[in-house]
Amino acid sequence: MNLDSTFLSVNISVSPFSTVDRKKRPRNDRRIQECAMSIQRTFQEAIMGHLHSRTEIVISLHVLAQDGGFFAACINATSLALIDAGVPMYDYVSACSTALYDSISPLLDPNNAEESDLPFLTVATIGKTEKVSMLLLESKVPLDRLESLIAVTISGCHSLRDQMDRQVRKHGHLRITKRSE
Amino acid sequence: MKYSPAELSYLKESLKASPPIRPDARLETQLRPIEAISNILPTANGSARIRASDGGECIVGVKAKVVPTSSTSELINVDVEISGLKENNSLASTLSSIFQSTLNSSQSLRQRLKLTSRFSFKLFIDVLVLSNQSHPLGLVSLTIYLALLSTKLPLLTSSTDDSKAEEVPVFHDDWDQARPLCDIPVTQSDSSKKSDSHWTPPLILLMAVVGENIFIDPTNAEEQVASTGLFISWSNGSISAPLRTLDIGSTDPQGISSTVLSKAYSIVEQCGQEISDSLTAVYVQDEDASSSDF
Amino acid sequence: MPVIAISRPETVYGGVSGGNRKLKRANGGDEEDVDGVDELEYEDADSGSDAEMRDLDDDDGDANDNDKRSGFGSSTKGSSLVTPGELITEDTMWMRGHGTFSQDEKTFSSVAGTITRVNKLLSVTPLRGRYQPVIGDHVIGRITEVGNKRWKVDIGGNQDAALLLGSVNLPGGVLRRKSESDELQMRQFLKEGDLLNAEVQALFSDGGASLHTRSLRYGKLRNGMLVQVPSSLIIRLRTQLYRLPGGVDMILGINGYIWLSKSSKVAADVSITRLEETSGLEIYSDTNEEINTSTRENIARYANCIRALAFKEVGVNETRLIAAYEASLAYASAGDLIEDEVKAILAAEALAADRSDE
Repeated sequence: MNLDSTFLSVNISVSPFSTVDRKKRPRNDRRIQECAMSIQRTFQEAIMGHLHSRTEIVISLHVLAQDGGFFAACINATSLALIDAGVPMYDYVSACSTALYDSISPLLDPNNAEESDLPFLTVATIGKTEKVSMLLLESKVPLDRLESLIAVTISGCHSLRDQMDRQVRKHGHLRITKRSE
Repeated sequence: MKYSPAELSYLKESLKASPPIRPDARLETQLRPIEAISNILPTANGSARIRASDGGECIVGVKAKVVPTSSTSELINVDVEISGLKENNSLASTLSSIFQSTLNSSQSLRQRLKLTSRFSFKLFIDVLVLSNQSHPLGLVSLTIYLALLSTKLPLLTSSTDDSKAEEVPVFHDDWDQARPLCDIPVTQSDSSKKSDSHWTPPLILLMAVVGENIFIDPTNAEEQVASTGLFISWSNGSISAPLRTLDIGSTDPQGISSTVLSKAYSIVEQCGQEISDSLTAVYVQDEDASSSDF
Repeated sequence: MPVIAISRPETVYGGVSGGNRKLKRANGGDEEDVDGVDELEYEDADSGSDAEMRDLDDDDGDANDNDKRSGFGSSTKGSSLVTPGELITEDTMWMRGHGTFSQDEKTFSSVAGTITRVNKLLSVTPLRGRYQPVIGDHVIGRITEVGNKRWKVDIGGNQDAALLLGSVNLPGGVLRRKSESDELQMRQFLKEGDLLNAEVQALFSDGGASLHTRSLRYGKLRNGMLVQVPSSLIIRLRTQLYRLPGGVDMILGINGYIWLSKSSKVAADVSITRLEETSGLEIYSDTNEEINTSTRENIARYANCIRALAFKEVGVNETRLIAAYEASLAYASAGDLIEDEVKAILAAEALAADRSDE
């Protein structure tokens, strides 16, 4: 454990009622553990860990309902929660997924059915850069399509960053007006 | 949460006094305000979320599944998960079993879940306690109550009599035709209209005993100085089983006297109906809001 | 009086209530988040009122009071609210404080908050965050650990503060040396769970604080109860000790921990000779004095008034609290004060009194 930086621990729990068919998932489910680990690594880079050495930040994610974009939603929610808690970060981390339809057309933000039938990837970026801080691809995609697929996903991430920023500002203005009343 | 000896003795003295002085000046019969909403989960048959004013929060999802009646003895399955605690820790399993046995013992609920002579609905009530400052029993009970109120089951279109030819039940595919699981509880004013078949979910109310006094909805600090916890359930307008003492983390556990028990009864009699009326009002409001969306 | 008051949620992100953030005490911030794929959807459904939508469009307007407060000038946009990754200024004359970072000579924000400028120091105060200790702050803390020649104290910050054995008054006078036997009986003076009021003496390089209690004003707390509010609601003033009407004393910890207790007979300032006498072991006593019913009732009432102010995010000070208390007397049962509508009324009364006071 690096003592000069903040230690992030990520717990994800998926509610049994989150999917159409009720399914109880054990907490040590391999996929969920992997997801938690990637989130931890992604955010370790995004937060200014050196400012809070020898401290631990516990991130608890509860997935209440899901229909595709599981991983991306977890990352976006983590971003917002860290910002809400006032943890210093270089920028928003936003994530998005894209499926490849018919081996040609990219489909942004696929739902569960699309994810199960089509190859898809998830990308996270820090801020509005082209810098990919996390990429997850678990199925086969033709190599010549990969670049355009990533480009589409990045643009999705950027638009999500704007969406999240809008919500944070909306909330912030609400707080400021409440305080100055 | 650990308190200093001076705080605990101040608190204990105040709560033992007659009349008692609670740290937030509440009456013995007064619950803390909550924030409640029903029908929040798109993938569940019924759901609710309640936030307590101390930051406690609970989410309940109810899902129904068709099962052959013979395959299971318990038609209601309750599973409690408490954020931050391990799976199957003692608090979560205690809560699961309290609610599971209470709901399963309700004959009229079982009756309502019956589809045909061979098939029944099985209810899966999944409880997620996102955070809790005080003992979560009361919070969980209110949330389950609201979630069950909002639970709808699809309308059966096939025959109810399948004793001769075994067939899988078929349902109406329009969700608007779905039937609510519970009757809208009658309010105090028109309780005369209540019929025998009427069923509303049970409420389980947690109280803390300090000296000869007893309080509903104890805060974390009150639990620490309590000699024991006690819960009583309220269903269909009267006190019902179970009634039990419960360890709520008191530092100095003791038994209870009969005076305290009768005080507890009168508290539940005073509060039970009003709590169920208030939760029903939330459900009705949510229903109206969702129907006006379309 | 209703047995239970139930409201429907206004927003997905609720306000900060004191207890909310004390969930898991990792030695750092803790995050709690409900993640749902449809989170944004139901927030909009719940809270998309017109007023809020206007707020959103107001980004570049200067209608906010806060603009005046922060007084940040022409080099930024009109709004003083910034979010992580937002460019604050390209001007290199600024020193970068908390909540900012630099890249290519430019200054960016690292948190969501408001810009504050003190001389040449530019910092961003997060909208929500834990207490950040400052030297000289009068705080209230709770012992979490008894360690080697030091206690660890929770003061609501990012990490526990340290209270060194050498920084407390021990029985037998202030000026005596601490001996090995003192080290062995540290738990007799202060143990886990004990509340004390202290002053921030020094800050460590990692932001942790070191406390001291070497004054009779500080030390163990007795005869009352604690109320917690976000530290942002407490303003630093000359004194944090108040005597309130109704026989109640209040210590307003800068960290948002507020102690309400029975008024003590002893005046706050004690001569140095008295100090010698009074620093017997009894200053570490756990036994409360006799407290009568009306004092206990008043303490509970004040506690509810403080919670009412915090509910509306109104800063807590003496004038406002007394005004809220007086307004609360209209409610014979102080239990009524826990309801949202009543809280709002009390907070409004408190603000009105404070304005007319100026």
